[in-house]
Amino acid sequence: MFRYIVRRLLYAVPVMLVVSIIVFGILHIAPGDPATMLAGEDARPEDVAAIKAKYGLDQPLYVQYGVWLADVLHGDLGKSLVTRRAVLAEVTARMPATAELAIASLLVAVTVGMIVGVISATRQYSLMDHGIMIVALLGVSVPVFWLGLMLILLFSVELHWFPTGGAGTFMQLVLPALTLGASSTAIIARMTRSSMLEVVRQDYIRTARSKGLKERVVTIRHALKNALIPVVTVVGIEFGYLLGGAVITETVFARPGLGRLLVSSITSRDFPVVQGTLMLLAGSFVLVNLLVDIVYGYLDPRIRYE
Amino acid sequence: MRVTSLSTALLLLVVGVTTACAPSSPPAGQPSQSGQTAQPAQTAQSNQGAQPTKMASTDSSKPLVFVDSNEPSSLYPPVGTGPFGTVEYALFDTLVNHNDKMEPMPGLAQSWEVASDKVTWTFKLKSGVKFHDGTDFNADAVKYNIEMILDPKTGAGRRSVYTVIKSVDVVDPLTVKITTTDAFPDLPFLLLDRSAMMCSPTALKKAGVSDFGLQPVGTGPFKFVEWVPNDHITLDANPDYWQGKPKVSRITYKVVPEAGARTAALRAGEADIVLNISPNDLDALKKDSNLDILQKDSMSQVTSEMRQTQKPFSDPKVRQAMNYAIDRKSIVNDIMHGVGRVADSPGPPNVWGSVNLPPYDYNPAKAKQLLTEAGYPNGFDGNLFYVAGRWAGDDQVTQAMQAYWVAVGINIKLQKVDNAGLDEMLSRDPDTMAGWTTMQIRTSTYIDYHLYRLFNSEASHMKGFQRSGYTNTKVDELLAKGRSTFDLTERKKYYEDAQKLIWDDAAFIWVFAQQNLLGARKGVGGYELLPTGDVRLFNAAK
Repeated sequence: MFRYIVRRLLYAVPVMLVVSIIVFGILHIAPGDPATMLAGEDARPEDVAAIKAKYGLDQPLYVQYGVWLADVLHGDLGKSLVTRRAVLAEVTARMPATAELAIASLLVAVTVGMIVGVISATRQYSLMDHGIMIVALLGVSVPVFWLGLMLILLFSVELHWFPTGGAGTFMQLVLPALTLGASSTAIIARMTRSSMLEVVRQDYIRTARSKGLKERVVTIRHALKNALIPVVTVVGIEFGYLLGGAVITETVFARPGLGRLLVSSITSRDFPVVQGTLMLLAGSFVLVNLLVDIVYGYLDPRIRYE
Repeated sequence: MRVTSLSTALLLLVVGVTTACAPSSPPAGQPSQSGQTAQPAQTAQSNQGAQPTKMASTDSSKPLVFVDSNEPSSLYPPVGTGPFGTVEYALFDTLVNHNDKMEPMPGLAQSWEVASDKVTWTFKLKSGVKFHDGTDFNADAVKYNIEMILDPKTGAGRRSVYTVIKSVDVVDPLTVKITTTDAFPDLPFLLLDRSAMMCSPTALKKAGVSDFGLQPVGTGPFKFVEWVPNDHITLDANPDYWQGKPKVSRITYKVVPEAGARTAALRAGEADIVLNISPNDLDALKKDSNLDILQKDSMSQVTSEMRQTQKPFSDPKVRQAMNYAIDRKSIVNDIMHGVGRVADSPGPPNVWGSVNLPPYDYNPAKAKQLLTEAGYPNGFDGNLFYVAGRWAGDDQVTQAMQAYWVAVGINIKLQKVDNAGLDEMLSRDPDTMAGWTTMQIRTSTYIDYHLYRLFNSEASHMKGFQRSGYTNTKVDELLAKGRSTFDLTERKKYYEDAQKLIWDDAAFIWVFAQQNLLGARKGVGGYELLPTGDVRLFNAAK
């Protein structure tokens, strides 16, 4: 198992390298450049050129990439072109808000989704099952933006139960977690339901029942545990998405997170921040996927890693 | 049976937990976390430790919570020229101050005069003014600040406008001599601009431009305390402020990017003042008796600017037709909910020298006739590129304009781009942009600056954002004359004549003049909403 983990981590290196090249390439192919934006609309060409020279943006692309890579290998992710703060500082300042939100949303999604999915599966075709699946469909279809604003209007403005936004406290986490978790909840509910339905038809479930085990033990210890494998995959993917893609929720709730950082730095062509943030997100994704694979091994003894 | 009761129990548990976590009564005023850092941190790195703060509730002993949508890029004014002026107005002062009509008044300079040679200006400075770091504000500081702007290495965005200043000399600690290259009657207007705000040379030399932008030091009514990126900026009152101590002890500038969330914060009582309210929320907000809503004229105009060195846009009749094709009243009333005024001048609204002219009325028949006269009886094709999401209603206004143009046969295709993409397209050679137009917001603090950069033929052909290619030599002559004299009546006449020509030429499509919307809780007063869209909080009280 240890060797497996080490091997997976080593595989991550070429993956990250390729990601960095692709990101760098796409950023520079896109029209517009940070120097023009920094210089502003009154700038003359020589002012723009001065800014380009100042930040080394006039060098050939392979030189710029080489300089960036050399710095990264020394642990220096560079500085934001817009704020001149260290990229690492920009990212770490925003990690707490993003991590909180991703974990909270995932907790909501996993607990509610799994419970609801199991209920649905064990009462297939009942009114409750249909009801739950319709709500799940709504959860997936409802725009995050709209849901967030509706929750703010109801729970913050009318009821004064929660603050309208910001980050750092539990109260500020509730509404965003519900907003962001809604679609993940729906996905996990549906996934759990269909996976359970499949497992419940297996012979070993019939064996467990005929052994005289209580239905609750059959459902949870035997069926659910085996049904979890595809669900864990989905959870892993959802976590990756939540880490980097929560920009709409972060914008609506004014949370200083990585999603907003990424979008604003792409808009202002702040190359170092985009590169640094995406590399860190890619790294997180690799780690999460590794975790998911390890959890498989625990869930399914048939899966063994050499 | 068992499964049902277990799962039902679990569901109830989850619901019960989440309900229990919500308080049964509105939360009492929470202590603001921003009280932790009392001293300004010495280096930029120490900002990392500061935590995002809760929104404070409205209460007189609490900070004034000011909410806007824009995160500053840099708080060094020559570089940080974006739409976050409220913070800079709190931190800094200019040599030349201004009233709420942006007219010059004494500021850090008590008085100024220009010699008979028209190029030598002498500024007498206020004595006893200190920067937040305790160093003196004096003539050396003025010299250093202006020379920093002129230094290309600084990266000041408006450097090219300042090159009219040839030299700055210290006569004595409270007297500065500024020499311009040519007669430049608008020097006071230039020096009242945000980019001319005075920064502490000691702090600037020690930190360098980049780090100063993260730890600004000025002479203003508030001192910098902390900046948590994308969350808030904390400013404490400067008790030694030369115009008197501010009434609030602290300002928290919070960045809330979503208009709906800003409105919610105002209604929920979490924010004292909110800027950039969406016109869609106006009706609901006006009904709330706890709020004051301000709707004031700005200096910005929404325009469509065609590249006009090639047909079809090189023909004034085509441009006039496009102006007649649009129903501006409907755009303002129906899309903007009445927040705005129909455009009636090529000059910036509410700026001295702007002349009001008869608006282009909504006349599709005349538009078609003009098109036929210009040789396009069946209209023509064109493209409009724009950025959506920069101001409330921009997407809908642009689509409405396209619809009006299509109705008279001008088949404009819309192309949404992002800011960087727009900048790149605006910089292209207008000869390669036949049939292209864009949507812009134009704002300027003084008339010469506005007319020159948009309508002078040298400026409109220069490589940069303004290269529409508009050329009218008479306009060039009038603008040059306007710069050459200090006589206000004469200048006004030249600018009026220039604007009439530009208007009749239909150089651009002028749509409407924007208005600024501000919402405040009742009981909060003393704030000043400027036509630039910034708010001066020096006298604010709650």
